[in-house]
Amino acid sequence: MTQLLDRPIATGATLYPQAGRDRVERQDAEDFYLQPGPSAPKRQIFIQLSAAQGNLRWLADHVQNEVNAMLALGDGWDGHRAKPITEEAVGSTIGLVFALCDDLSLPPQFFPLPDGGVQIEWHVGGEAMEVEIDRSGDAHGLATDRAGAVIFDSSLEPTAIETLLPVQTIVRRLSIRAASGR
Amino acid sequence: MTGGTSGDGLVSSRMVVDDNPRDPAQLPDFEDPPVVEVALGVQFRPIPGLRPVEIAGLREQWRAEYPVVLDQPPLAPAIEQATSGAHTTQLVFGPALQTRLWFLSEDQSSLVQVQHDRLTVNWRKLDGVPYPRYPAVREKFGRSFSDVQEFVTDRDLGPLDITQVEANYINRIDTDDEGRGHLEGILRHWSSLAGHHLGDPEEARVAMVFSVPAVGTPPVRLYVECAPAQQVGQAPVLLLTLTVRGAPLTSDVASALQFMDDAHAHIVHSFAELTTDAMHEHWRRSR
Repeated sequence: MTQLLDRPIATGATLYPQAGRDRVERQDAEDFYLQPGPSAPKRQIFIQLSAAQGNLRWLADHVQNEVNAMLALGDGWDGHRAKPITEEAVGSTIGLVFALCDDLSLPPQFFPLPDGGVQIEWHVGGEAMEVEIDRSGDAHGLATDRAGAVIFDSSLEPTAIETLLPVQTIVRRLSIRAASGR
Repeated sequence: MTGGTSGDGLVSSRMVVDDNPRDPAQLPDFEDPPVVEVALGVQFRPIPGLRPVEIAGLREQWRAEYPVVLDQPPLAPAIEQATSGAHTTQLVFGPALQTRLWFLSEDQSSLVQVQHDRLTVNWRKLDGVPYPRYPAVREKFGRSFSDVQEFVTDRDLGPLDITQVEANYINRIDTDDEGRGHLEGILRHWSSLAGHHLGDPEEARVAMVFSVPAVGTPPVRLYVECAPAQQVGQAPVLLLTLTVRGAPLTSDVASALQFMDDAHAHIVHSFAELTTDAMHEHWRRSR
C-alpha cells in the first residue's frame, strides 16, 4: 500500500503539484559557490532517482560524492601515467552498485584505477568482495573468505541479474556481519 | 454501442473499450467536465547539452505564444517498472545545475515545460477559460515537440529518444470540510462508512493502479487517485487525478502521440466508469 501511494502520479501537474520531488541539492549550491565564474568544463555526475526510490537517496548521495571525487582526477593523477576515469567505467560502476545494494547494504569503498577504470570493495572481518570495472565498463568480481580462499571469481554484467545474484548474496552477508559487529 | 450512465454503465463502457477505444464518437462526453488541468508529456533520454541557457533559446521562437518564462526545479524521472522494487537510476554527465523552464501564455492557461529529459504541455483552467478539449492540447504538444526536436537537431545536441509517455487529467470537485470524508457521492463503488464507531472520516483518499494492456510497450499503468487538496486562501476541494504512463512502442513522436490517444480514451472511459450518475448529471453528460 505504501508503495502504491508513494508512486508518482501526475508528475507534470502544476495547479496542485505533488510534494516530494527532487529539488536542487545543497551540493549544487556548494559547487556554484566554490567555482564561480568561467572555468574549465568540470566532469561530474548527479544521480536522479525515481520518486519511488526515496529510501536510496543516501546511497545515491554517497555514490555521487565518491564518483565525482574520482572524476576530478586528471591525467597522471597517480604521479605517473594514470588515465582519467572514463564515463563507461562510471556508468557500469553505478549500475552495479545499485544492482548489488539495497537500502540496508553496507556501501562499498571506491578506488580509481590507473587505466581509467574503477574498483569497488567491501571488506568485513577478513572477508572481501572486490569488483574491478575497466575503462570500457567491463566488470569482474572476486571474493575471498577469511582464510583468503577464492569463493567467487567471475565476470559481471550490470544488466544480467543472473551474473549478479552470487555477489548480491555476498554483499548482503557482509552487510549483516558489519551491522552486527561480527 | 455507447457508454451508458445507468446502473450497468460499467459493463457497457468496458464493451466500448473492447470495440474501439480510440473512436472519439464512442467516448463518454460531458458538457461541463470538472477537468482543471491536462498535461501531456514525454520523457526522453537525457540531453546534457539541453541546459537552461540553451533551452532559453526557444524563448524567441515561442515569445508570441508564450511570453512568460519561469524557472522551476527539475522533475525526477518517473519510469514504469516491470516490478515495483526495480531500480531506475538516471545518470547525467554535465553541469550540476539543471532546471525546468516554464513557457506560459499571457493568461497562463497554456504551459510548455522543458527540461533536459522532459517535455510536457499543459492546459490549465484559469479565470474560467473553457476546456479546449483533448485534440487541441494534443496539437499543441505535437507542435511543441517538433519545435524542440528542430532546436535540438540544429544545435547537434543529440536525438530525442522518447522513453516514457504520460497523459494526466486532473479534475477538481468542489466540496466543503465535511465532504472531504464523503467520497460515496463521487465514486460509484465507494460505500459510506456510517457504521464506523468513530463516525465519518474527516478525510478520505482512494488510490488505484490498473495495468493497461495493448497500449505502448508494457508495463503501462493507469493511476487513479481521489484525494483532498486545498490551495492557499481557497476552499477545500477533492482532486480526481487520472494518469496513464508507460513506454511507447517506438521512440519517435508518432508512437508517443498514438500512446496519448489510447491513454486519453482509457482515462475518459475510466472517469465515466468510476464516477456516479449524480455527478454525471452535474457535469451534464451528453454521451
